[in-house]
Amino acid sequence: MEVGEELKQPKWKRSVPKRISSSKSSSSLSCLINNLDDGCLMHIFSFLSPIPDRYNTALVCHRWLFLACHPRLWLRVEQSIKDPLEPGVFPSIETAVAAARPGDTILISAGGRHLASDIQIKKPLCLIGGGELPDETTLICSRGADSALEFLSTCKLANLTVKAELGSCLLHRSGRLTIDGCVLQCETNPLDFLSVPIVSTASAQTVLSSSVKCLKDGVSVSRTRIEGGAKAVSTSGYLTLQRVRVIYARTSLVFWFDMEQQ
Amino acid sequence: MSRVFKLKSSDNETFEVEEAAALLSETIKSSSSTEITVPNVKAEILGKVVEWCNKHAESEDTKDQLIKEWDAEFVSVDQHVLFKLITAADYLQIKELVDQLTQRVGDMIKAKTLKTVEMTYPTFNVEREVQEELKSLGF
Repeated sequence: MEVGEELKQPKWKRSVPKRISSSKSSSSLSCLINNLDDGCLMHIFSFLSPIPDRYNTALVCHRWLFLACHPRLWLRVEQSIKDPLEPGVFPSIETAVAAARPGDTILISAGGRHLASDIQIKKPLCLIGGGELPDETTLICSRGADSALEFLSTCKLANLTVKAELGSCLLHRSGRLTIDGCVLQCETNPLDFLSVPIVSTASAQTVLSSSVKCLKDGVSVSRTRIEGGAKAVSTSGYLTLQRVRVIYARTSLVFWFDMEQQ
Repeated sequence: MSRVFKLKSSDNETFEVEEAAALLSETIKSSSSTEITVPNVKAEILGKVVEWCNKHAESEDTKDQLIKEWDAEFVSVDQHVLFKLITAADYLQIKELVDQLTQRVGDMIKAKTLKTVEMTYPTFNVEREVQEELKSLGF
């Protein structure tokens, strides 16, 4: 079997005996790693960083996709830590974000209140609420802070409630932010005009050469309830609201919209 | 007096292991008898596992440089042997050995481009479909 020159460790490649006939070689080699059980494979994947290594392994086949993206490889934030030595479990969102590698997914446990004040996220992460409904996982931003979460990188939030007592819920500086199935709550009658659930200060993307594919800064909101605040969104950059859809339910408004550069 | 454990491979070869080395395995620790059959693991592989256990039972300090070098050499084996070793160590629940072996596989996969990962471990290529799924997960 021919292997490309990009291989960095030819040592083990050469150890494959040439005696194996070509018809047998691909099937015998392909069976090797897939003979391992799910637990072992996931253990191997836990040593890989999510981007680019685990992403690459996930593209190999369905089974590897399932294992590489499996919740067992996620970081968890739980209020009460039963076993302090257990890897991958953190007492607060800040510690989990600090320990996460770019591309990791953080699962925030349902029930209880999680404190989130001015947490800066500079790497691509995915934060997911652990309950069935977004209402079951709440992030509270206390009075003194500007916002609960500040995003300087492409991130995704799903199934969470973010409640800001005074400031804004989410501060978007750069990168592509996706908010899916969340609840954003702000002070109902704010005196301060800065009490807005989503604030974006992303400015225009600099023009790069066409050979470089770049994702423009923006915010994508879907199935999200927004409550309180002077207005739902405030942008001081060049992003504008597009494709706004709202469902007026009896007690709340559910939004779908994008914020993109025109 | 330390007990001697007997480990039997799938091709009926028996290895005698001292207590200190044998107790590195959680499976053996929680087993009631001193004779354990390890199914699906051939003598060649079981022999290597026993060798690892003996080496680690001898030396007290696992952070020792010599042991680390010995370990590094131990895990640089053929793919064939490597995966069989993982299965054996997993069955015997020898945490440190499993960690070392899986770390080795992880290192082998790390930083390879997709093409080379596929060529190394050829399975089905479901590119497009999978990329769509990954996008929906937020990658």
